[in-house]
Formats: sequence, structure tokens, C-alpha cells
Amino acid sequence: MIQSPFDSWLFPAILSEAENTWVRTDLDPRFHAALQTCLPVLPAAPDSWNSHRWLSFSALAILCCEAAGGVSGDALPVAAAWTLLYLAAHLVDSLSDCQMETGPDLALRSIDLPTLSTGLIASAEWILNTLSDRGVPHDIAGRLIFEFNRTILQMCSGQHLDLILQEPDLQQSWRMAEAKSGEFFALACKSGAILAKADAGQIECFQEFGLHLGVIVQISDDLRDLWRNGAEKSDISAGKWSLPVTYAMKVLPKEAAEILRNLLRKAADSAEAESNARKKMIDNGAAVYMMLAGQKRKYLASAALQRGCLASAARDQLLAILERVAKMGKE
Amino acid sequence: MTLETLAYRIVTDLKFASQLQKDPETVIQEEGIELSEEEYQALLIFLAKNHQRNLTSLDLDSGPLGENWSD
Repeated sequence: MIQSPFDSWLFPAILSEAENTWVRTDLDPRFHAALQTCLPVLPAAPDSWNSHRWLSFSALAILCCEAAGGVSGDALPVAAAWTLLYLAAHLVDSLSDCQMETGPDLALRSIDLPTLSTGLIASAEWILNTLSDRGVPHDIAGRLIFEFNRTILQMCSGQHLDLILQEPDLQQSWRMAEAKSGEFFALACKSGAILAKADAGQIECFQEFGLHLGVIVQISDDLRDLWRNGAEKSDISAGKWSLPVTYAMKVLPKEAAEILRNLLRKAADSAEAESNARKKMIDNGAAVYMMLAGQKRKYLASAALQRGCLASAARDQLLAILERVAKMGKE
Repeated sequence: MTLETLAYRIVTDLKFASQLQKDPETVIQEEGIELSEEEYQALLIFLAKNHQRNLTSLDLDSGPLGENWSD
């Protein structure tokens, strides 16, 4: 596994940013403690690769700021705000998908997910509202707040479509992946470049890098879900039409598509139906398609980053994150 | 030919998959497959990573292909 120099100090620094917000309000100590449980859950996760990737994602704004010619430390508050939103989105997604995690704080978080996610979003907004007081020029601080709010609304839109479109087509699935995951990662990368006072063309390159990176994260999640053992709850067992499903529905002949549709309907209650649904999708190229699509996005992300900045240690770190995400499942 | 059609054909047409693995450039030209530069590069990397794999007989026991899609 590639080690990031950010690992040792980044997470405590983000926690400190969040704490600085929470101690300035008259929070009930029990709610304060509940908010704190949202943060340490990441590095304590049983999957070491998974915990590592979250930390790497938290560093995106900082690395992009440095790669675009800025001072990396200037981006810490923005990185913290983005991480809190990432956590909030994760909680909302868990709630929407009814996929509660396991862990000692399960009872608390499963009861209070909506409140906690709202608290995290408000904390992120709070941090962003302090940017001007911390030396960030007013116009840049204002733009960052605008970009965060715009992206949150786009993500909500994507999440809403994900919930109401029971059987999206392939094109809609890609649009949702871009709205939910792509735009959010684009925000982190673009924010770093904005803080570095990069020009419009450069900012666009970082935004594009983040967009493709975020979509690759979604592709990787769906790819892993496709190969997951039936012991775990998955999108397929939940009957959700993820990218591999919408791919299969597009390419399969009508009769075979109907068989897959029926298997997916039964997947929640039948491990055999779930297994057969997976096999049908894999046999018909869903994994191959996802890999081709992922590789295409990786090519585009890499090209955008190399257009956007000169070679540097920060750019190497960003390319290493891209590489690591693309290798999901290997570590 | 879209990327999804290409993926479907790779796993369902043994002859096509075999020829593609041997000489992708010629197959793409002869079949009139139109790919963008990034799609063509993605295909080449995918084929290089899976050159010893039978693409038409992937199954649940062959493991997560995810580990093979990065160059």
C-alpha cells in the first residue's frame, strides 16, 4: 500500500478543525460526543484500504492547492469542511440504502443518522464561514462557499434521482454517478486550485481531474459490489440498479434482460437468485465494461491533471491517489 | 460501436475476443469500430492486463477483475 505523508497529521488536524467549531457552540455534551463518533469511525474501520482511501480523499484539496502553486496549509479548513460533508453524505447514503454499518456505535448512529449528518453539514458550513477571518480574501471565500453549496445541491439532486428512479437507463446511471460522486470530488480539487489563485483554465483542469476521480470511486464500488460474496449486503441484493445492472439491461436481448430483472426482484430474499443475477451480469460483460469505463476515466483524469499543473511532489501524490483508487480490491 | 457494445461482444464472441487480444488495431480497423482516444487507450490497457485470460469465460470464481484494470 502506498503510504501518504498526510496520514500522520491530517486526520488529527481535521478533527481539530471540527472540534474548534463544536466547542464554540453550546452543544449538549451528549450530542458533541455523538458528533465525535462520526469521525473516528473512519480509521477504525476493519478494512485498512478503506480507511486509507478516506484519508487520502481528505487530502485532495490540500494537494491540489499545492500542485496549483499555492500554500498547502491554506487549504486545511477547506479540506476539513469537505471531509465533514463526505462523512455526512456517507451517513445519508447509509440511511437511504438501509445499509447500517457494524460497530460499537451502531445503536447510536442508526438512531440518529439524520441529526448527525445535519450537524456535520452545519459544521462544514461553519468552517467555511470562518475563511475570511482566517486571511482568505473575501472574493475567494465567497466563491468557495458558493461552490460548496452548489455541489451539495447537485449531490442531493443525484441522490434523489437514485432513490426515485427504480430502473434507470445506463445514461441516467452515469449522470447520477457524476452528480453524486464526481461533482463532490471535483469540488475538493477545484477548491484547492481556487485557494491557490489559479487561473480559470487551471481550475477547470483540477475540477476535471476530481470529476473523473470521483466517478472512478463509484465504478470501483460498483465493481466490488458485483464480485461481493453473498454473505454481505449489497446493492444487488437490495435490488438497486447500479451501473453493472443498467449496462446489462442495455446490452442483453429482451428475453435475457427480463430474466435478469426477475432475478434482481428475487435477490433480496434468495441468495440463489442474487448469485444467478451476478453471474448473468458478469457472463455478459458487466465487469469488462466497468473496467473499460474505469480505465477511460483514469486516462482522462491523468491527462487533465497533467494539463493543469507542472510536475511536483503534490502532483505525484494526486496521481498516486488516482492509481490507488483504480486498484481497489487489490489491497 | 459504443463501449458497452464492445464489452458485450468481447465476452460473447470468442473469435472476436481472440483476434482483439492478438491484434487490436487491425480488428478495430476492419470492424469499423469507432473509439475515442481515451476509449482506445482503455481498451489497450485492458487487453494488456488480461492477455492470458479467457475473456469469454469469466465466472464468479475467477476473482475480482478490479485488480486488473489499473495499469
